[in-house]
Amino acid sequence: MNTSPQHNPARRRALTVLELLLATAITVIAGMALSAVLTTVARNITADTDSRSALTRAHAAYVRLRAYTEPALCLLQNDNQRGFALWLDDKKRSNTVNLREIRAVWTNNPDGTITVERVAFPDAWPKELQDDSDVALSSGADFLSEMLVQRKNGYTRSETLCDEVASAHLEHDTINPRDAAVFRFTLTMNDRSDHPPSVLTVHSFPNHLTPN
Amino acid sequence: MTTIPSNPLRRSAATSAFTLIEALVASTLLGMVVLAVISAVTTSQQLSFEGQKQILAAMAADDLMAELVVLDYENLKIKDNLDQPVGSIQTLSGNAYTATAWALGRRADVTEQLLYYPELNIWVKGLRVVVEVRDASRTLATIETFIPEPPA
Repeated sequence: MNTSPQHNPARRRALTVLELLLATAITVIAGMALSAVLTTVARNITADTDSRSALTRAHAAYVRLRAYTEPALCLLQNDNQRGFALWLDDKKRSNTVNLREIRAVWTNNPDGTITVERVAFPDAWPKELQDDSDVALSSGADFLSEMLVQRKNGYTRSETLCDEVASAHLEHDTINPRDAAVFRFTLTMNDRSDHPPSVLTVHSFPNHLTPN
Repeated sequence: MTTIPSNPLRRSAATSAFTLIEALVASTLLGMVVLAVISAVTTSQQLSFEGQKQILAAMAADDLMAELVVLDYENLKIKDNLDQPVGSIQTLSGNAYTATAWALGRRADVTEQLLYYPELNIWVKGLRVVVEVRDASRTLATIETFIPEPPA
């Protein structure tokens, strides 16, 4: 078999500098275009995933918060720097707010979580002692601070409603939060985009009742 | 080992460049692959967007229902035919929703209804409240409840 280059001029001939430059330029342009498309697609997918994840977390927070607000009787206190307090029920039928009937929702935790805290006396305590410790608070009390006192004593339990929260803000149309049968809660979630998603939600108290 | 004799035609084909047809076929195939990838990504993003809309629609429906059920009976009646066009939903007190709800519209229908309970053999008069959330083309979420008339 004769493979001598002399017999095959087409194979022997190399690319000219111009051809080589042209081919390189076309390859570079095509590569850059493809790279730009893939980068844009990847960025969009990441943004979309972030946005969906943030929305899913916001929805989880909404559903979990609703599990507290729907049976609750009223909003006891609103402090957007710390959180808000709910009167969950009136188990003692006293029309007063007792310690174990409060749910403190902490919306401004440094770790970006929203947590719900409640008073839970040690299980080792006899029922009478637990009931006696479940004192009634005045309707004008600082319920959130009272929860902090109980926490210091080790008598609270806490559940996380949501994480990766950038900010949370509660609004109501009444001067006194206790008179609000409806409140608005705006959640802004953390994500890597320049415009983190913000979701307005509305909660109400179908069994609205104000304490004495 | 058998050596295949050199065929001048084969050698000619091996040494020649792509023909126009070959180049076109290759470009078409590449184009089809790129189009398929772009189409898959677009479809995936569209589905993701639809999923997000569904979540927001469910929340918007629950929100409006939460506001309606705390109205007193007479005020609830006059909320029949409440309509908030797509892109401008707001709370009953007039607070606009955030930009995430831009694709949603809401409607509430409040109608009087008599419900019969055969076990108790009684009729209960009340209001049937239906809340519907939609986007520009279809209904995304519907919820309903029954509010009995309060005793006189």
